[in-house]
Parts: sequence; C-alpha cells; structure tokens
Amino acid sequence: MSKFVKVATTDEMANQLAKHLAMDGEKIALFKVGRAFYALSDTCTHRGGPLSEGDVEGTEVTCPWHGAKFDLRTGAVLGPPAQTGVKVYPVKVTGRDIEIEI
Amino acid sequence: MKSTKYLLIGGGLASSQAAKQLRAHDGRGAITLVGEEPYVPYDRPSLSKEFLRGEKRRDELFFDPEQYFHDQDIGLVLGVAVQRLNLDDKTAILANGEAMRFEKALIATGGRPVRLKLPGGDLPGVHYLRTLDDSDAIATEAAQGKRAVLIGAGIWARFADATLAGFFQDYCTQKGVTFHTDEIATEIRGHDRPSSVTTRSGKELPCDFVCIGVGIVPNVELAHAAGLKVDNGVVVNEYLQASHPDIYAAGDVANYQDPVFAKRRRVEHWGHAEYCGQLAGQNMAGANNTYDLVTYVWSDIFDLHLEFAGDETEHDQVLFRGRFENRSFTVLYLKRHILTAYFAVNASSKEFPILQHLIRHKRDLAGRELQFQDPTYALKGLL
Repeated sequence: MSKFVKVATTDEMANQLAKHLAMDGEKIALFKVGRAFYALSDTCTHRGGPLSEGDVEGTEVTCPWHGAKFDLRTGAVLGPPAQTGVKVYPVKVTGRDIEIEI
Repeated sequence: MKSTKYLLIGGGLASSQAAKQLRAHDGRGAITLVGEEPYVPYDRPSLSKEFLRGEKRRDELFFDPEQYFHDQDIGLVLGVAVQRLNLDDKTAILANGEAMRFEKALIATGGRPVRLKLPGGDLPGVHYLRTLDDSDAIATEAAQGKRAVLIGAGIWARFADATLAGFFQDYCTQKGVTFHTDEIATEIRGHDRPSSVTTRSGKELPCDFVCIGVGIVPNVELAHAAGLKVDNGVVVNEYLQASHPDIYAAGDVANYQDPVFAKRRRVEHWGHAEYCGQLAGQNMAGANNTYDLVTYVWSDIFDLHLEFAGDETEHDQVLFRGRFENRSFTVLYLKRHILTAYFAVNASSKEFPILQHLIRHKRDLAGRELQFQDPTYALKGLL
C-alpha cells in the first residue's frame, strides 16, 4: 500500500534546489523549481548517477555523470545516453510539510 | 542466398545500440545482428562486479530480452561468427557456411583478452574475463576461503601516477589483497589445476585459481582480410565509416578521429561503445552525424566509485583536489595549462559537468592551479 510520507519541510528547502532522500532502500531526489516540488528516483537509468547532484534548467535535470537528461515532471528521458525514464513519485505540500507517495 | 539491408557484426553493446538507432531511423529496412556468443547483447561491466558478487541476476544483464528483437523485427544469428567479408559483392560468409548479402555493415567485433604465454597458462582454473561464460566460470571458483592470484595491475596501471597507484594499493591491501609489484608471473604450477604462481624474483604464491587481466587486442582480422584499412583497429573517419563507404566500425575495434583531442584514438570504454553504436546506426540509416564525445569511463573498486573522463595520456601536470585520507578526491591532468582528463574517486558529482566543459572547450587555466587544488573553491568560477 502506498502512502504519503513527510520527507522535508518547505523551510528546509528554502535555500536548496535539490535534496537526496534515502527511503527504505529507495534513493529519491527531491527538486524545487519555483514553488513546485518534484520527486523522482535518484538513480540514473544509464549508469546509476545521482540526479540530485545534477544541474536543473526549467524542469529538466542533467545527470552529472554522463549527461542524461530527464523531465522532472514525468521522469521521461529528454536526452541521451539514458534510454529509459526514471520513476516519479507524487508530491504534495501540506502546510510546511513536503510529502511524497511511496 | 539470404540478404539484409543492415548487417551488424558482433553481439555487444555497440551492435545493440546501432540496431535501435537503425530501427528508429529506418522503420522497414531489414536488420540482422550476427554474434559469436550464444546470447543477446548484454552488459559486460557487471560481469566483474554486481553479477560476479551475486547481486545481479543473469536475466538483468541483457539490455533487452530476445522478444524485443522479434518485436522490432531485428534478425538474430547467435553463436555464429562472421568468417569472411567480400566487399566486391557485399557478402558475408558465416561460420555455419551460410552467405548473407548486405547493403551496409557495421564491424563491432570488440576485442579479446591478451593471453599470457607462460608454462601452466592453459591449465583449467586459469581464467580471463570477457564474456558471461568467463564470469560464470570465475564465480564457480570463487568461494569462501579460496585463494586467487590475479595477474595484471588493472585500471590504475593505466590511469594512475605513482601517488594514486599507492592510494589504491593501500586501500586494497586493507581489504585483504596482497600486492607484488615490479614483478612478472613466470609460471603457473600445478598438475591438473593451479596450485601456485611463481614470479621473476623467485616468489611462489600458493593459490586455488588464477585470473589474468592484461588488456585486450581488437578483433580486426575480419576487417583486415576484407582489405579494409587497419591500424591499431579498423580505421574510420568522423562518421565512423571505414575505408569502404558502406562499412562502419564502432566500439573497442574502431580507430577513430577524436575531435576533442585532435588525434586518432582507439578507446575500450563502455560509454564510447554505446555512443559509437548509436552514431554508426544513425549514419548507416542516412544521417551525417560526426563523433563528438568527451570519452569517459567509470569503475567500482570495493566501495570506491571511480569516474574518469578525457585522455590522460596527454598531460604535463597533475593536480590533486581533495584529500586521499578522506577517500574523496579528484586528480586533474593538464597539458599546457589545458585540462585533458580527470580521475575522480568518490568525489562530488556536481563538478563533473564543469570539468567536462573545461576539457571540451580547452579553457586556458594558467594561474588557476591553487583554485583547482582548493576543494572549497567552487569550480563554476572557472567557466
């Protein structure tokens, strides 16, 4: 059964654009773009690079290892060398709590 | 006689990538992949890592299941090598005697391990690692309490300077590896199995099995016999076209013109094979794309993650960023104040795109040495 779990607060994310979350063996990257939050797998489908350490432009993140690009909203591949998308997790903000569904 | 529009020779990563690009750019042209191994293309790096340690299942090694090739209408001829290429009538003769006519062919035959010629070198229990079968054989040998002698110094023999080599040696020593450097294995002793390896200086190292890793040689024989230009690999242009315009080469076997370092190179890295396969596939289907990659490679040694990019053979200066004691550092190679390569060990991934940018655009970094060596300095300032 999936459920929403609190992973951070908006205060905590006030000064950062990305955060790595270690959840029950799953590595998840939380991103902030403007006022929106996105959560996706923090393991690049190409060779396992940490997307939470990648550059973000708009809603596109570039893996710092070998340059694969993903859409933060859908997890879809936007640029090689990755060929499959990453998993995305629904995010909701309740008050100051940022929750993701896992 | 059978015929195909595109013939992919070799069953590895490059052919697999080429097949995908060909199908994406030519929805109907017949594609046939011929591989010497009896498997659909699979991931070799895992063979010495996750798969060998039992952390990855066999079926997870394959890039795509066999069904994928059927669905995409890509013909598979597995367990069969291409024996001969006749360029006059563009025909391939397979080891099973069949002939196949083609319009364009990709040579992605990879390489094979250099075999050491020494007494006892052919005993059962002496292993090389290239294929899935090799990895299976080593996994069968490697059990609790078994002693292995590994011949060959591995990745750091090629990338590392003396300081870095010392770091890895110390690290691996702590993990239970005993090093014998400045040595050459002279004999593998044993009756029906290895029982020891002797060295030049007269040491005798007892063991239960042996693994040898002293590099590969490119499988160029097919191309050479066909009359294609071969010089440390199949010589290709920036489109990965060989000396015959309908023949392409990709991956370990290709000797290509590297635009970043403005010289010919033959690179035995996974990312290069992946990239080349894609590029060759696109160009075989009619595109005119040129090679444009800052070559990179990664590895894992115990819990150290290594990321490397560039060409370390081109350097006159070596700088260290970070500290060995923290097991998180980057070694920077420069030539005439231009960054040519980096070798990062458990380092911040955020810096890699910046370093790759500096390599690609050949930024003059004269006078920036202290900043490079200061891990608190944000490298973005160099862009």
